[in-house]
Amino acid sequence: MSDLTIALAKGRLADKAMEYMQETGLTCTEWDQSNRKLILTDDSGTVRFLLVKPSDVPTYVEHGVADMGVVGKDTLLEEECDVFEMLDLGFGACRMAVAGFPEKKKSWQSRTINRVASKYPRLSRSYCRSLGMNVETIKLNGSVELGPIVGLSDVIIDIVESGRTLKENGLEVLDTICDISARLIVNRASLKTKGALIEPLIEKLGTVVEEQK
Amino acid sequence: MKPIELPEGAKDTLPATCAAKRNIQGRMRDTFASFGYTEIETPVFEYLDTFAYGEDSLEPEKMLRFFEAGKKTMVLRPDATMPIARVAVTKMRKAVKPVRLCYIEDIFRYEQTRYGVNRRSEQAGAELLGAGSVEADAEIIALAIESLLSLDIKDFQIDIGQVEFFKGLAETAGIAEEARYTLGQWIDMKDMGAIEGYLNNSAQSETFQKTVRAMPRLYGGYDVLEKAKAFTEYPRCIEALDSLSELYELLRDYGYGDYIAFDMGMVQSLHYYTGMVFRGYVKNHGSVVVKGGRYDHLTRRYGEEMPATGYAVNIDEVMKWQDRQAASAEEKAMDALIVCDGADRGKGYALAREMRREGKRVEVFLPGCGELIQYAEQTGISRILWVRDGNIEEIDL
Repeated sequence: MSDLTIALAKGRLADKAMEYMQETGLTCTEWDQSNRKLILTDDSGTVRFLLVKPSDVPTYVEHGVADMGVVGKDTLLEEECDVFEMLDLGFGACRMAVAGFPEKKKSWQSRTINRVASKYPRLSRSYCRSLGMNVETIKLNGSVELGPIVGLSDVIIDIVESGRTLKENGLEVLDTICDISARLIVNRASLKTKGALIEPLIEKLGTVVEEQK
Repeated sequence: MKPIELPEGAKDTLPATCAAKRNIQGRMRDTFASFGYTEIETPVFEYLDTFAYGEDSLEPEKMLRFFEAGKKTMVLRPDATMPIARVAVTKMRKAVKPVRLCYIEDIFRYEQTRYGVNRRSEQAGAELLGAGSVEADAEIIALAIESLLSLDIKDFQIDIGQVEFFKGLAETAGIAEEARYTLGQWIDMKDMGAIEGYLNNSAQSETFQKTVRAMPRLYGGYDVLEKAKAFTEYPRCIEALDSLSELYELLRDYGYGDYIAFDMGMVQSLHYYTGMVFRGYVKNHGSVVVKGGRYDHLTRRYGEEMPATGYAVNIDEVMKWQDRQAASAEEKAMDALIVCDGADRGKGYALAREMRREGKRVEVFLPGCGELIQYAEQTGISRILWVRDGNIEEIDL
């Protein structure tokens, strides 16, 4: 068994995370061969990478089956897990925002919205509740922008990168909730019982992040 | 609803698991007893008021509450320490101090996690009441270490923090209650980004900023205490650090120095803890197995202030750990299956009684339970004692 297991959110975040890992000297030929393996081992044989669905990264780490993970802050906010969130990796930057047709801006500001569609139902619900609104939250798994267009919801809560998709569908950002980027999370027990392996890696990743700025 | 459904969070404990659990409980009881702790029980249900109070209270929403018309709200025991604190300053008020008590009890809390609802967990814990010294804290941690060792857990670490360090820092700097809570959570999660964001928007002193920024990384061996000292000149913080140094020396004298580490970023501000706090982590197990700390003001609400310190082992986590070790205590095998009927019944029953008195585990074969050999094989009993015509025939499978 490998000494250290790292869960990566499949897709762009994993690509970028691997790039950063390579920068720290953690090379992985298996990765470069870009096959479809779900478990990869680095060249030294000490680190194992698990490629999982983004929303599963916090689960793997919280349960300790992965010692560390790289995942977007959006997923962390939605999953509300009990892990150490030790490093803002900087990449995957975007923001969590409330979006809708421009004419909905007033009712959003007066907190009279009834329905929100989102891929992030928990986050949406608790954010609206913190503003004193009790909204109906509709969970969608993709193409959230359709919500207001087909009349399913008044607004959507989603991550916004350039805002192009919104614009092309006639929607705009009504409110920004917070900034999002990829985070390095660590299992609480792992940091304490495998610190000798984890800490140097965090340190090196921190340096890579600084260099990229 | 089908009559076989169980409410969320409710569970049956089947023989193999139950045996493993009893085994753990037995070892815990022995360890408690060896340190002079005596077991007590408190009610499974009590008034909500026992547990709900002021800002540091457990959240009533997380308690399993029930109501009776015209009566006060009652709850299923959501915490084991609080009722013991109540007993210590009421029914045991006249007992010679310190009072050493232990318990093995279920606690009930409504915890909604991503994995479903959990409403019950079992804790085995000890409380040392009426002793405010660092030596008392050391005894509790020593007992925590001994309990893990008694459960054959060897690769673990006890992570110690001090509530006063952050409280002292925040109160000296005059941080408002709400901000203190949020900041505390970020420190606890080692969320550097959020901490940085907060500090950039605050007008706090250089010392405060420097210390808060450092807190998430102030964890590790004994030298962490020295490092932490360099960051602060607040007397309350320095006092907190000094008490940890003293605690470390005591634990070293106990011979447990190797198990000890510190984490100044461990901020359990929401609880009744007032001094040192600790968590025990086991290698390759993702969750906290042991938890404890000092709670000097908790008994005040029950009538009298009494310094106290204690800890609890989470038995459910120990069982999960055992499962993962694939070393779960095997259900103890039956020593024999006795078969007898008619005129041989008296002799068969006498044999069973005799063997049971010797501490053996014996089953008597009941008619209508299928074919004998097949039954023995299915249940894993390897020895059949067949009483026939006054003789005992032994069949080894």
